[in-house]
Amino acid sequence: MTTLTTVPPPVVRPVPWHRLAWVAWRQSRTTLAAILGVVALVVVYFAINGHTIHSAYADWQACTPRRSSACEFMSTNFHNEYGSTGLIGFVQVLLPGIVGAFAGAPILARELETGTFRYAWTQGVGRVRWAIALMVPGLVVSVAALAALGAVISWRYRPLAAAGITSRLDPSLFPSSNPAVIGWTLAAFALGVLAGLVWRRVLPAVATTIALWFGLAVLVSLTLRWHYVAPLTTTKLEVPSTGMQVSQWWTRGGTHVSDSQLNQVLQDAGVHGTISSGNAHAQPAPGSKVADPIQYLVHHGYTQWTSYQPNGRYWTFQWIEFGWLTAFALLALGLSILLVRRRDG
Amino acid sequence: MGIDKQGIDRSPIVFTLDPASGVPTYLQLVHQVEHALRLGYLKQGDQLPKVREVVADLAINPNTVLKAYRDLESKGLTAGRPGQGTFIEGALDQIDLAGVAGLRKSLLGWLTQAEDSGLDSDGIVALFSSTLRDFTERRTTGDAGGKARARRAGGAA
Amino acid sequence: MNVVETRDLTKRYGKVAALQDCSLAIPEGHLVAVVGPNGAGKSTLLNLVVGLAAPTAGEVSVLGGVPAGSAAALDAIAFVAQDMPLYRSLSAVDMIHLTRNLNRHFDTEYARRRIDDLGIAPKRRAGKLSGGQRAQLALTLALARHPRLLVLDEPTAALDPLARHDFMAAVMTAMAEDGISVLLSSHVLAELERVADYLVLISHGQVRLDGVVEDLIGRHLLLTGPSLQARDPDWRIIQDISTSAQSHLLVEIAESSTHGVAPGWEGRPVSLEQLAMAYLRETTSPQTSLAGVAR
Repeated sequence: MTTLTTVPPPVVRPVPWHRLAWVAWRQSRTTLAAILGVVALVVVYFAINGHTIHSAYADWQACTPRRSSACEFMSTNFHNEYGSTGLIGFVQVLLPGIVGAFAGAPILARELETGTFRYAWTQGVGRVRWAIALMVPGLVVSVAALAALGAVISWRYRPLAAAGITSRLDPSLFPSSNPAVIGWTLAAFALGVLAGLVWRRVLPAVATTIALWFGLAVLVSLTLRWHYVAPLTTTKLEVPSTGMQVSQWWTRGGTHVSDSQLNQVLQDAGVHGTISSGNAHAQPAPGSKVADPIQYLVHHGYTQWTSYQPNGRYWTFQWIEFGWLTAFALLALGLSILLVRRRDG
Repeated sequence: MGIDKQGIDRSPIVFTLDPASGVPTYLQLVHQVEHALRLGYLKQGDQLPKVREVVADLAINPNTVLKAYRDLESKGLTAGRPGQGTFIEGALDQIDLAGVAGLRKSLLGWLTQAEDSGLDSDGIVALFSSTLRDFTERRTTGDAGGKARARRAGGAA
Repeated sequence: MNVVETRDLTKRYGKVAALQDCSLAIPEGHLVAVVGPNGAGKSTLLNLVVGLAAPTAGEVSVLGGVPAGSAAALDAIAFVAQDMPLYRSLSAVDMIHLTRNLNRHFDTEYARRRIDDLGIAPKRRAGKLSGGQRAQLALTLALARHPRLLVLDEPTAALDPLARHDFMAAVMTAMAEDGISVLLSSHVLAELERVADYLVLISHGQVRLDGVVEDLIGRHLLLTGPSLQARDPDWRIIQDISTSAQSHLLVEIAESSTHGVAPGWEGRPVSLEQLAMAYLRETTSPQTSLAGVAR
């Protein structure tokens, strides 16, 4: 048998994007409504909460004279009240991951799970344009929602940053602020789309996406972020709290001294307190009779080194983080499109 | 086919199908037309049901209907008018009674022969049925275009 | 023009060959029945034709040489998959709108009229429709695209007899009105003779028989005769059921054969169902039919 008769296929104008926009909107409107609803609730919470903080801060700042016990009392109150982030800090970090996963994973997974891809991929539009169109609403709404939340969160934390209570580099605040939060949302969305394609089922895809995204977030918060630019080092004992400490260690005469060696020295000298990771725990209050292990070591020729990232690098780090997360997301989306092209029914 | 589907243009007959009869579908249609002609339900100039209607009613392949109509046309019974449909043109001669008497006589002679060579009733029916099937098959597959004579009394033997 | 043409088409999933060395040249204007037992490769062939799967080896083209799965092919082919996948939360009106937006050509008027005629509640979710109604809706959406080829994967498997009849009547009417070609798969042989005029028989991933039904039936014969009776060398015996006294044969007769039935044998034409069953039972390695060799 001779080769197949092939003819140059007739040119078919592709289905216009605005038609696909209706399809995409119709398919995803429930999910988008849910996302907007949830994020709106969180935004409202932060708005109210932030308003309280701003008022308290304003009151505190307006207090005169500054050194009076009343104003000192206000200061202490303010620090105690808003010093720690608690559960809400955890939620604000996790939210981009959850939103992105729920927005991205069902797009392809639901079609593959229910078999409707056999309908969608045999329509005239073709599977690639269809997949791209379907991603747009979820992507846009997720990013917009989280960007709004990021703005509210930044506003909420501004007095705390001004008071030096919370560093802008704090792991619960940094990824929740713009533009990093957009990058984290994009990454979760793209991971979701890809997971949906691999798992072909919605729930495993969502679960996998959240798990992987969370793992990435932890990894970045613990190590990666602090090395975007080589950290600064200092021998000063007091590091500005607006910066972020990376690590601490001790030297003596130019050579590194380990924690166990330091602890041995302290024990021999009868000083209470232990050193771990270069720092002492439970330092005694100033003026107390118990010897401060740090002070003891310093007086005996040991030097404490601290590496840290200064507050001034905040925006540099934000754009770096946003940049690589967005690149990662684009790669994952590109891979998804590639897999859609090759996937067998 | 843009003819309106009012009662005036409807065909006098409607086809039915016996799926279990073992007779090919197109043949059933041909037979029904011939049967209707014989009994007078169809007359000269009457229209056969439109292909589309037959297909919608019976859920059969339109090519089958077309084949039946081509078959009828090759027998000289119908003629297609482009854009309008298929219409009855020819007629099946009624078998004259004298012809029937002659057929009966020669059949009785054959039956005596068959019985003499040992066939019982069932055997005779089986032999007759299969030979008739062969005969019909060869006639329909053999007639490729051209008007053929309508069945005439006394032609078979 | 060949509506579907394949050359040595092979599809492997892992190590399993779902379809092997399939070579077909199916002319347009037919209703092509792809038959075979479950798992034979029917769905695979259909998926390759509509572009849902890509060949492991070989080629498949549609509508006179257009590559399967290309934009032009997608534009002119409508597919209704097994189980009629529809978006269960969308109503008929929504599905019409959806399909319109996913295609360049769509006859919204025709679709709405058909939904009305069929008595399908336009605003009811597809998930709440009966099986027959869902099938008719899926078919309506496909036909409203006015495709040149309609592909159906086991379309009537889950339908009751009435729904089955209505469904096939709609398909046939579209053939009669629009001149579309139809490719459908089925593992039920009984009703095929009424609807199919081209047959492709697949078993264990291989095409055993294919051709226009009329030709296939004309090439075969059912023979009965004494088992010791001499057999004609022009015969290719497909099925041989013999006792010590009597033989029933289903044979393919070579085109070159000019004489009638060999003496001593009683012949009668074979039905499509008998023919398909006999070829499906052929468990020896696939022999191309006599006509296939000549191609």
